[in-house]
Amino acid sequence: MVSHTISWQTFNQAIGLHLLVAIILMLSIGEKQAPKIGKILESIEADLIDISTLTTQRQAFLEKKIEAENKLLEQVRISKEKRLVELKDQEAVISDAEKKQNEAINKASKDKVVREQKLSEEKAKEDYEKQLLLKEEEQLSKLQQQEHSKKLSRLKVEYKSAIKRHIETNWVIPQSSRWEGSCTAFVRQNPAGDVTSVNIESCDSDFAYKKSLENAIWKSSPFPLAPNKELFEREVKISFNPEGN
Amino acid sequence: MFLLTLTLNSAHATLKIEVTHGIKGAMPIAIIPFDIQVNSFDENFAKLISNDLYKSGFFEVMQSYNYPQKVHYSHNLKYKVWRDLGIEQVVVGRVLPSIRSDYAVEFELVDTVRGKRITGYKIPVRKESFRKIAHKISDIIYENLTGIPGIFGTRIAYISSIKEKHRKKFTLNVADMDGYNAVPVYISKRELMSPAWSPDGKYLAYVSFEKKHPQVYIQNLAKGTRVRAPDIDNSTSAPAWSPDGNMLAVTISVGNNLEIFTYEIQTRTTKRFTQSLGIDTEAIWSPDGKSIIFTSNRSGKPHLYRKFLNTGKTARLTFKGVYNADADISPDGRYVVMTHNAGQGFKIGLLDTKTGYFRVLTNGMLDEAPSFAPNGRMILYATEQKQGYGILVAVSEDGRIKQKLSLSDGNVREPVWAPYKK
Repeated sequence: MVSHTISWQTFNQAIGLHLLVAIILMLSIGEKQAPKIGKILESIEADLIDISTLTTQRQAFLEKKIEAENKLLEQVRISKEKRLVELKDQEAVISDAEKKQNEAINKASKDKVVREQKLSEEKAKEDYEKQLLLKEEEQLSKLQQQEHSKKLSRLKVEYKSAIKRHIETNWVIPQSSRWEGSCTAFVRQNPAGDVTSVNIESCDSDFAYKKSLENAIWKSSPFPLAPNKELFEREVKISFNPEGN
Repeated sequence: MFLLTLTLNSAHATLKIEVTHGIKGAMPIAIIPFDIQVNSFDENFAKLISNDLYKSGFFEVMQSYNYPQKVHYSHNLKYKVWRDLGIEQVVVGRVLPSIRSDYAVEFELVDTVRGKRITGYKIPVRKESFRKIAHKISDIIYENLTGIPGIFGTRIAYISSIKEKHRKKFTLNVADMDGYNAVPVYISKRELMSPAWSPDGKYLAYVSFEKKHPQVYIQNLAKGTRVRAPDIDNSTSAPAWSPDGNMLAVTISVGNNLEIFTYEIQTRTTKRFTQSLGIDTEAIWSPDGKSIIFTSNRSGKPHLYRKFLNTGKTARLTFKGVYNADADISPDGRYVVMTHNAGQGFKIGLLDTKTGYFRVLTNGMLDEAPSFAPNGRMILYATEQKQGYGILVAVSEDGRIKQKLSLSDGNVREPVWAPYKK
């Protein structure tokens, strides 16, 4: 009875081991190992059917067989593990390459990004500089304009005083005239400074005085040239205001 | 819109210039010697005209040796050449044969500034009227350029005196304003003084000592007839015509004093005008007939006063110097010319009654008896060239140009410029 009980226990143990191996094998071996495992399982099944008739010796033999099988299983397991490690190593190698490749790709893209970034930065910088330049130019042109208008107004003063002096040297106030007031002359000139018409207005003077104004203007033709085209005016209004009157 | 812009622009686009200085000066003119196209002609129109214009003081006559061209027709003038020399007007002319007279003179006055002829005339001339025609041309030029009537064709009256065999001869003369063509109007053994032209130029009033004391006579120049005016035995002197020619202002001795009276020629009535303790004399009528300016020593020294006929109000006119007398008034009534002494001799003074401005026109020691030209722009006066030898001088109104009159007979004085002929 006792032996019976042991054998049951052993049987149970054997079945447990077999199951374990099978599970391990099933779990860890790929499709390539499947036929080998199937043979082993068949032989185990056949052994199981024969158990009822086994003796103690048979039991020892079986134990030895199991042991051997276990050994084999162990070997398989080891080789499997080895293979796993190998695979793992392989995998590691592959991932390394991938990594490298990825890294390369990453680097490239990174470079691209950097390049692009650099480009856009440069562009921004350029734009900024351009804007600065524009701003500067604007300011410059504004300054130039200011300078120009300053220059123009200065030239205008010079131009006007040149005409004034020119007329004054030509104005002979007649000895016969007793007129002492002021008169205004409207004069038209062409761009060459040639006087084209003279009109004395608002002038309640005597004949000779009025004539002297006309003479002064006609004698002053051509007027001094405008130092700048912008300053030229066809119409010139000349007021005669002898000083001291 | 375009039009509006245009208008705005044109209104804006005017250069404004103020001229404050000119050169007060005479008008530059050139009188090119006339072309003589007749035989045996030895007068000089250009010279006489130049002389006339020069002495007016209003013209600067270019010397003939400076002329850039000597042409006789306006179309041959190069305007610019003259204009560049500062000559604003040029006179060209020619003496031509004439059928109805001895010859004819043609002249053209040209404006070189505007490049156009101002005027031109052709005048027939008798040999003896050469000077008269030349003065006429001067007047035309003068009036065209100044706008003032010329005076070169006017006459003057003056007193001359010479010694003949220890006896004096006094003559009242009428002559051309340059002293030529003098004609005696009245000759006396005794002193003649104070000639005065009637406003129409047909009569002369003057003082004659023919009755040993001064008395005023009016003489008709055309007929030679003369009347005493006023016809009284008192001493009368210093006649002055009213502007309408109907009255005289005369100085009449009243007791030991001299007072001014008005004398109506038609009615022969006199009316006392001044009443003062001092001497009132040398009346001159203002052109508007409303007042009389006269010399009075009522303040101690002789000075000029003006008294109004309607109100009787009197105002003193002169304050400068120690002696202001013998006034004449310009035809426009504004200026009063006088014999003036401020301690440095007798000179001719000119007072602007509008501004009160007074100035001395001459610098002689014995300048006296000033008389305005009928246009008021020249003054004739007498001065003593040497002891007892007076001459007449025409001075431009600014005192700048003085010209002696060429008179043949000895000592001359008291010139008086005739009015324009009416």
